[in-house]
Amino acid sequence: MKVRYDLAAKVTPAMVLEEALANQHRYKAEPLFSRTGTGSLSSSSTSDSAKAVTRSMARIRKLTQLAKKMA
Amino acid sequence: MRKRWREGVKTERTLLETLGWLRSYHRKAPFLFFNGNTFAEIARTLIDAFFAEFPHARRRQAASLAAHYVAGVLDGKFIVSAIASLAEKGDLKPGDRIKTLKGSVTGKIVRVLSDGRVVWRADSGAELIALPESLLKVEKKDKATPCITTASQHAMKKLPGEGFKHAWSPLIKMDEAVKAKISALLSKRTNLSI
Repeated sequence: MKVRYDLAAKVTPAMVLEEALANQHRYKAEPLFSRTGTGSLSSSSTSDSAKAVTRSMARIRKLTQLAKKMA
Repeated sequence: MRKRWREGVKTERTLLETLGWLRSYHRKAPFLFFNGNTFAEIARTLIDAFFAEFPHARRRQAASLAAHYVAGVLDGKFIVSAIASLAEKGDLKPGDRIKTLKGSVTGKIVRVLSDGRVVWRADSGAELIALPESLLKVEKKDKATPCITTASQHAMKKLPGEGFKHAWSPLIKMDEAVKAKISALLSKRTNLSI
């Protein structure tokens, strides 16, 4: 296995945004945030994990294609 | 802050330096909300691509370690050794001591099947079949090989009495310019300020 700097260099803000938005529902502000300024992060469900795998595979496929085009 | 970020993006860094740089922005709190998940998510997505050739389970654990580091709950030395252990090749043979990726179950390899999967016996006595990439070899001299469970335990201990042994990350401190900008925005609509 080798590290894929070539793929990491092609990660776009849109890809990060997609991941961040997909996780957003796990960050719970209420009921504590308004009183304490501290929210919480709920555990990911099995469906969250399955969706994360699909997104990750799709992203890596896309990055690999991009890397091949640039080569 | 935005200008510094855009300038900083152009600098070439090692992986650990990049994670440290993201961590430093998390500490500066450039946004009113969600600083943690913004910067941790950048780290997670980068690591996911960087280790694209890892089996998925290992890649996910590496990304999780990086995100914990950026969020300030793990130190640099710990994630370097933990990622190194995830990168080890899974050439397992009968008799090897192993543990699961999360480190919650340990056991011994019984035999290697022809399709590459391994049969292993957990210390509890249960016999299990697994893909070699879902197990880590335990070195005799290194009983405390970092693992994900250890990482989560680190992340959960916050006070010295709970066993937290590291120096705390620098406090999250919003940049004065960001503070002024947000106060101005808030005061336009309300009487609030920060």
